[in-house]
Amino acid sequence: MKKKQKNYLRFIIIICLLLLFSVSSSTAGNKKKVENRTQEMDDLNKQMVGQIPNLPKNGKVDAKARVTNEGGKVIFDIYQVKTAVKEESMSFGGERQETETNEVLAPNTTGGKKKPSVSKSK
Amino acid sequence: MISRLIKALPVLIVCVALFVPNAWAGNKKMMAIMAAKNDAMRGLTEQVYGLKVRSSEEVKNMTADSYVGKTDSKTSATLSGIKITDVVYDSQKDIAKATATMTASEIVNIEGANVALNGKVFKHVGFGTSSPSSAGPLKALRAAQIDAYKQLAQQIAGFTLESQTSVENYMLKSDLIQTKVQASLALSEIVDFGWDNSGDAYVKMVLRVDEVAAMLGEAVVGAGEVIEVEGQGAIQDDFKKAKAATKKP
Repeated sequence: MKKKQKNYLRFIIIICLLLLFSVSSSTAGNKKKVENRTQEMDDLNKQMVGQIPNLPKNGKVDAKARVTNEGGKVIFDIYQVKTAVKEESMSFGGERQETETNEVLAPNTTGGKKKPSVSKSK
Repeated sequence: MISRLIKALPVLIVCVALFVPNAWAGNKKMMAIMAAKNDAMRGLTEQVYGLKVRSSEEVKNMTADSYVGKTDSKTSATLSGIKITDVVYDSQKDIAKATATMTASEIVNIEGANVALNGKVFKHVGFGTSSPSSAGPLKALRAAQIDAYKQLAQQIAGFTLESQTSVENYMLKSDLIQTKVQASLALSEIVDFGWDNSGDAYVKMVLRVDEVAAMLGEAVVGAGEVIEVEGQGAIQDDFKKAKAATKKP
């Protein structure tokens, strides 16, 4: 009985060691780093798009910004924005229809700092 | 005749086994040390004279599989007065280590600006090997160094962010994100480097803005700041493996 218990203990220790080795070696590599960077880029983009005024409820936003770091704070200097708005309208037949409008925000060059000015195209 | 040849063959094999590795060992050591010296001098040139960094990243539909990131660095200068010290060779791993130091009163940097170094001692540790099988940790370290340069460039010069985003019921969904940076860097300093348990490398790099301003003799944005970044480099490309595995039906 004691011998059996010893063997069982040895078996568990070996399994634990094997698991430890496999876990430590699986942390090596660039996959995790790429996943983290992808998440960082998404967060950064959402921060930038979140600063664009009058975002549509449904649509698409193409934006370009110069990103700088001032005292640990990320500053987005958005210099180009294009929005395509999906608008829902009700036809008399009772069916819902979707129309698309485009809105372009271009940089205002008159000020010292670039601020988006609005020009609409339908 | 044939039996004599058969008898002589083991002797020949023993001779080859004894002498050839010795000859290789000498050559290997020299090559590894030479590579380490070159690496140390390159690092020192990047630190003192400067380097150009160009980097771009792209992610589509928020999937890590689609991530493409590339960073190039470039430097070219004629520096005199570089001293190589602390040359160490590990024959087991076939890895050499060398330290390059230099001191100068003034240089013209990568941007053509006169920099008053005021006799400051600059130091860079380099590594080298002659065996591709031993190169993994050294490649990871260089990757970490370049990653640190990229982060420093992004913090100092800023970067361009371009994106296409869908909005659905006021919820944002990133369709395409691109970042681009191109900058010249000089006088950055490696304060720490090493490898973690898994073999991945890290490089901690700082840029002391006040020191740079004093050396350039002009005001620089971000006075009083010490910009610190940590670059990371991987020893193995498990991202590519995972990507290939997901592509297979």
